[in-house]
Amino acid sequence: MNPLVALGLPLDADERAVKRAYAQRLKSTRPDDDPRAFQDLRELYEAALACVRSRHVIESANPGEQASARAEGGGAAPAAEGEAGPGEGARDDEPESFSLDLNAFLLALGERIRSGDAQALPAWLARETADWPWAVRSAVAWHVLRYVHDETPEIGPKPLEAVIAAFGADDVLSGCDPLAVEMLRRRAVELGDLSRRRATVSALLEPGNRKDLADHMRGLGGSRSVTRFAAHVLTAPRARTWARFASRAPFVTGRVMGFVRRLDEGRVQALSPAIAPDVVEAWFEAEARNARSFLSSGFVFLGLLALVYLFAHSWADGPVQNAREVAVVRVVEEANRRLAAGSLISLIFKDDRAAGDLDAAIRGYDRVIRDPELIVTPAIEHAVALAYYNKALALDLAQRKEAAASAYGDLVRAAGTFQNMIAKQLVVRGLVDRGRLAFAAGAFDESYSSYAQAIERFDREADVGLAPEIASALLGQANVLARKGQIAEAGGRCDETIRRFGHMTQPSVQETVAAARKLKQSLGGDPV
Amino acid sequence: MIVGIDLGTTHSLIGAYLDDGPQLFPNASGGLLTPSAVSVDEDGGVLVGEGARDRLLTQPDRSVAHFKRWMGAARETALGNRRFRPEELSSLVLRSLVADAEAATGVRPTEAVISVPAYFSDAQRTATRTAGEMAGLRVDRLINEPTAAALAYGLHERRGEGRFLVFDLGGGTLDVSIVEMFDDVVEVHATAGDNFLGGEDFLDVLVAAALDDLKIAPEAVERAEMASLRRRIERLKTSLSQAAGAASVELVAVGRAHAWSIDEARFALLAEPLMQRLRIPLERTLRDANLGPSDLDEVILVGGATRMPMVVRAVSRLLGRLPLRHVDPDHAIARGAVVASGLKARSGTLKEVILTDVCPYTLGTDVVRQDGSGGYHPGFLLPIITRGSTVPVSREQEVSPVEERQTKVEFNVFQGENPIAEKNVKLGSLLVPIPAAGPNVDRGVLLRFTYDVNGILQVEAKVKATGATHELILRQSAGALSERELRDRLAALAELKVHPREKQENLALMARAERLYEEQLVDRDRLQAMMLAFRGALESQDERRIRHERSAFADALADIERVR
Repeated sequence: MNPLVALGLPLDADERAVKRAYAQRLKSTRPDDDPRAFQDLRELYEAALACVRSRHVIESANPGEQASARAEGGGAAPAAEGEAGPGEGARDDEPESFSLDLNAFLLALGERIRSGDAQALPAWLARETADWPWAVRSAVAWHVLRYVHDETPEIGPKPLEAVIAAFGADDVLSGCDPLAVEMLRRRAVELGDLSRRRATVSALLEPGNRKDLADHMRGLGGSRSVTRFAAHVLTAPRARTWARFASRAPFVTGRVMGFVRRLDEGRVQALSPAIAPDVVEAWFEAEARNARSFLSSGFVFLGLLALVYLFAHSWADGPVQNAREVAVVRVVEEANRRLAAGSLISLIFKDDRAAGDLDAAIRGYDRVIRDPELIVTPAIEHAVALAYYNKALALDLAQRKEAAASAYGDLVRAAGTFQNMIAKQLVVRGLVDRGRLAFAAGAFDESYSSYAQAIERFDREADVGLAPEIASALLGQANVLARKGQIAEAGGRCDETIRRFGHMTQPSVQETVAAARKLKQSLGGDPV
Repeated sequence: MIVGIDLGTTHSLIGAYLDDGPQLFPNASGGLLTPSAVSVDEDGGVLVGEGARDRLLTQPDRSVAHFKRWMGAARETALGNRRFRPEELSSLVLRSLVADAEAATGVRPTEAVISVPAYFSDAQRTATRTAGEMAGLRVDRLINEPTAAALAYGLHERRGEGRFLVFDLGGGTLDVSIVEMFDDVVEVHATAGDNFLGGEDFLDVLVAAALDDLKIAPEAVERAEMASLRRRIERLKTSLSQAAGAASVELVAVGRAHAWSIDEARFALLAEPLMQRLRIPLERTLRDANLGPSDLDEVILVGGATRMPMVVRAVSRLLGRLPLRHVDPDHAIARGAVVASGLKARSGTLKEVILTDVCPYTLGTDVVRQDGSGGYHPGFLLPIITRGSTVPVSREQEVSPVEERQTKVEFNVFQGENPIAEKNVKLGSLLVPIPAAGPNVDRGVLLRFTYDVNGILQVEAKVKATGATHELILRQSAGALSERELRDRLAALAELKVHPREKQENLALMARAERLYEEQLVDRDRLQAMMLAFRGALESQDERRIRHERSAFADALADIERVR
């Protein structure tokens, strides 16, 4: 029933009449006497008011009628009389008293954000929006955030918070999708971390800082000769030096550059101004031709360095408390150093020169894994998981493939229930790596089920950190299916990978998505 | 008899709706404002009001004020050799107010309407009712402070219709409400506030500036010195409010006297961060009520802190009009509470008016959201009762488990406006078992939130498949007392020796003399002589002599204070 009729009013009743009818009924339906009946009356009243007001808006949309409505209202009728409700009056007036060039504002905002002066932004926003009515701010909040999302991908956490606060988007009733706002926040935080990391790396890559870079890499693990060599490659100031290295050791150069590219997120051109971008592109093309080996062994190596790099920082201020926990972390750290050295050596020289380092690393991890008194507390979950994972990695590098596969199995069994996010990441990565090993060994069913486990167990984790692994697992399944001749299913997996991860900006995910597109094409179908 | 009480951060007032309208009752010292301060003397006797406030300076370890700010928390304050919860301290103030009402009317009140800041949470409201219970009052009704102020203003100043904004900046809290009156209905449209912004914060700013200027570390100032410092600066703040230009004050800190002066312009500059915070609730109420400043018929300032010129300026600037102050800002809320008590008693002399209020904050539970790529993101707030809903209100929302193998659903109940659940105030949680997944099994849970006129929330979860209902008891929150604790506390309070009302006046005078003695270096001999004489009179227990000495003593003290 029409709420006006339910209140006993004619369909053309005005706001004043609605209020009068409500007040009349309220006398017999007091809020403290009968809450339920009051709530019903209240809902009826609000519906009736909305009804009258929407009619008013429609009328004002027609200028002729608006004029006559105003004349009828008798401009002299003061708001206190309740005639037509003061609220409506204001809405009519607003376009006259306030006008806004949203596009110009957005352009200026983008300019401000790009200028990178995070301190000045809140004050600028406050000044610019000082006389915006709140109704306008909340109406444009979503547009502004969309603009910030699309046009200023480099926005950091602080300026973003300033924008959110200025437009009241951090309010449950603001009408901005909170999930989208949260995603935007996460992106800003991730980019903030990235730009800090990027700044460190670019500073180290200045030719004058070669020694610092060598030290830095030593800090990550690796022997003196290896790090010196790598530092030399990375900071080579002249294209000719690069070219010489590239021709002599294309594989190594590619590895190291890949590492840097990983750290630097695709900005390899910034490495050394002397190198023409097209030369770098050519190297990468050569690299892409060798895609398969890049994805198998190279990937492992890059993953490892990134990992060690990560832990070198996170352990420093982690919540590790007692002596026993500290001891575990120390042992794993020491073994990591040997592993990093071993992996660099094995990748550069491709012979058994690395065996000593790798064995030492494996022994170190075993000290943790085989310790009968080991109690895994939340503080060391990630260290223990890393011991399992890196042991498998070391076995893999030492070409002991079967032992590596079973070590990945141990990882899943031992760390499968850990709650630590990094431990979870390692477990899913272990599953993916095992799938890859099995694939290489021709054990397709085993490979498929390993990938399936990864997807099944971790696909629902809310954290975006697992996206690279889940994407690789899906692609891995596609590869297995393709090899087994189930072309349609393989194509389906490729499509899923592209559909789900295509929008993500993480380079490792993008690599997987690109590989999925390629596979899909080679299967003879257009990627979605 | 039902009384109306304003239980404020700095002052409290009591009154009742009598045949000739709302009436506020004076305390033993004759004032309407009783300082919300409690002190325990060396014999374990309790003092409330003026005397207790004076003793903040002379016996800082045995005296306390501003405990309203701790309501709803489990914090205890040691006074002498006893520890008090904020509810207990408030109940002592309430008892003293009740005695004043009884002295004025000859009837002991048994029931009260107490005003609370609109933005008070469930725990804080419960604590306020507990304080009433401890003072022997039935508190069926709590009224939001700005609503009370609007009621007092609307019924006694305008008697008409219209829409107005009440800006209530008290000692410890800020509330803003938009109220409309028509056809004997007083309707609150929207309310917003800041539970931790009030006159005391402005005082803190001044104290910090003074110590900074005089290069004194705050830690180096003793408690008694600090109390005296705050009192003097409070007076300076008042004089800054009354006249333009600079004001100066003599401060005693770390055993030395210092002169310090400040002008209003600098004070305004120092208080700028606080002024920024005034703006937020003001804008939010307008936005929530979907009104512009021009839609308001009037803007009313309530609360002692609105006497500061900078606050008036800020409100005028933000709303583009000059605010009004018809009712005495210190009395408005109490008057409103009294009117509400009259309405509650359905007093025949009061025109029948119906008041509807709103829920000032959003209440909801946390849910998991799914993004475009199928990933789950936990911790988002699902609003069930949105802020600004007219109360009483009851709303239901269906929630379903995320996981197939899930056998329980945990509901966390939150109060607040942030879309990220954990950035709000958590009120409690409820674990509901659900049936295992299967074909044709409806695994939904109906979550019902009911918010009553007193601002007390009830949460009920109904499992659709089994019909089983689970109720959330919010009293289990950290700050609340259990039934047993409450009984024990009541028994302990009964044993407490509270000085009777007649004696309170004498004690307050002595406390004031002691405070003056501490505060100044001249007139000390005269003060000492007077204190001795008054003590002698008290010991004689001769009522006539005490009365005589008392008035002379009070006049002399007033004289000394005026000169300074």
